Amino acid sequence: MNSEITEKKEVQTEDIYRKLFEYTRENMEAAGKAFPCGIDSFMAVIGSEPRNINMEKLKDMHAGDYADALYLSLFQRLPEQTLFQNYADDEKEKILQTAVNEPAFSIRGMALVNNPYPQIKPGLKCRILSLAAVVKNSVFLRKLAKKMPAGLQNKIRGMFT
Amino acid sequence: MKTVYIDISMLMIVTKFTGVQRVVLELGQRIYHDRDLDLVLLEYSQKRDCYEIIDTEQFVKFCKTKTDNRRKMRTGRFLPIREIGKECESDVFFDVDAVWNTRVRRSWLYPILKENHVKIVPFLNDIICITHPHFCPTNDMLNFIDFTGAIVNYADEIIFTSHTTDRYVTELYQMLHVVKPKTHIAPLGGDFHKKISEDRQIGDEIKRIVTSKPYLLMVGTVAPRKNHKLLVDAYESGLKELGVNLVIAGFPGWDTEELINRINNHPDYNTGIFHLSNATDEEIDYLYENCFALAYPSYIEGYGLPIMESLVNGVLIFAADTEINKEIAGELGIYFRQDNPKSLVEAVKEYMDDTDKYQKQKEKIQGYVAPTWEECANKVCMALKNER
Repeated sequence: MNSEITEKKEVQTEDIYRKLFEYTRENMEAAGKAFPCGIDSFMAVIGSEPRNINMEKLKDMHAGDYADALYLSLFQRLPEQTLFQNYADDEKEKILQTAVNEPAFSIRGMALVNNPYPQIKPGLKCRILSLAAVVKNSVFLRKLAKKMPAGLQNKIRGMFT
Repeated sequence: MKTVYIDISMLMIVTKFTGVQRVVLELGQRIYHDRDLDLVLLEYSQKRDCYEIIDTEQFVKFCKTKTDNRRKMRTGRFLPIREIGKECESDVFFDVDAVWNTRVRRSWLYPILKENHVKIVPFLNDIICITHPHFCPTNDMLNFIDFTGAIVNYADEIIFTSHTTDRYVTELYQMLHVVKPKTHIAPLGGDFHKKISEDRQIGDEIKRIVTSKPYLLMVGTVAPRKNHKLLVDAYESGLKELGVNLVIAGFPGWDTEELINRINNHPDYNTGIFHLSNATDEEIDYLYENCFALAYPSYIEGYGLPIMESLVNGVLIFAADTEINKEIAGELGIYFRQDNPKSLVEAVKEYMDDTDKYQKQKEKIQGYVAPTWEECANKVCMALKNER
């Protein structure tokens, strides 16, 4: 009985996220702009833990949606628009390797659960940059960076995001 | 005594204390002083995947100085997320910071809190990311949908800063066929700490702007939803002819390259149109004191603090006729038709040509009493203390 109630509640809560997504998408499109992400990618991220990312929900997705869901789960942002544009569905391993190589993956100490590609590990550059997390977390240095020209700021930001 | 948890992970990393972070500082320190509430401040620790407890006394000191000694606020004591509220059923989780951008998604956190019988109370300035997503950065918008969904599913009560946001949220609940929980309205404070001293530092450029011609001032981050474009259009379609300059004070925000280029390449840039991206608080005060009026053409706002700042400074306001602007300025505002530069020019002309009318409007504003942060915090504390 209890599990039935829990299940019903889960369907109800999922439905609310779904409807909110659709409503926001309608508002975006009414303003003449394209919505940047598909509903499957968005829904795959709902309820995901801060550090341990369950890859189970992503396994049946097409490459584009997979990349979006992966980046949203790991970094709370979408990948650069052109980064995975021409990737086929059988190239998900490459997408995952690229994501895992992002310095933020190591900096945040992310872990992949139910990962069908357990051999994928962060690269050397990424691990070195993760040590630089200390630098990134310094309020003093962040303030200093804010005084730099916008271009340079973006380059530094790009290293970490 | 009721324990109130606040996640201040964003406050711990930001470099500016305006907008949401200003609200966190103003409310946080007042909740700390409330005898019936035990404030527990939290910061998500990536390394340990749990919350680190923040020293509240250090936090209160920080609220006053805002100097960058935030490391001192970390205690080295940690609270596993699943343990929040396990010891006491009357605990409250009060979300007031920009938490949708933190690692801890509310779609994951709130069900855990709910299971532990923690009362969930978010403080909402606006839901612009949902109603006007084209004005928001993509990633913020996607994260905010998660946050809003979690609120609709799990929040026990909601505190809004305005009736306008309350109305937007009511419509949202109706659309989703969900019963809206109990809500409260706690308008933000307008008791700004203004430094007036003989030796205040005002840049030469700003002194030159102030003394050259009457000017319309617009304060706030340059962003698409603020509709600065309308001001430049209005300048070209009549303000210049009236002899009114334009002063835009605010950092360039997201998606404003085109507008900034237009301003920077304008033939009247630095003679009739000025953009100040690094004005200090003192300089902003000085600009308010000497302006002809504030111009506020924004499409949508959560609150519109510059309107309140203007009223506090006794400054006339020409605002777009939006629901939120009317709620904040009421009959003290002069309204022009949204997205209609000519309508702004006509309104300004009316007050330029008639000094009596201008003076009378100024006198009317002199009687304005702004809501205070103390009042705002009292309303918040009352809501947090309410039994279920």
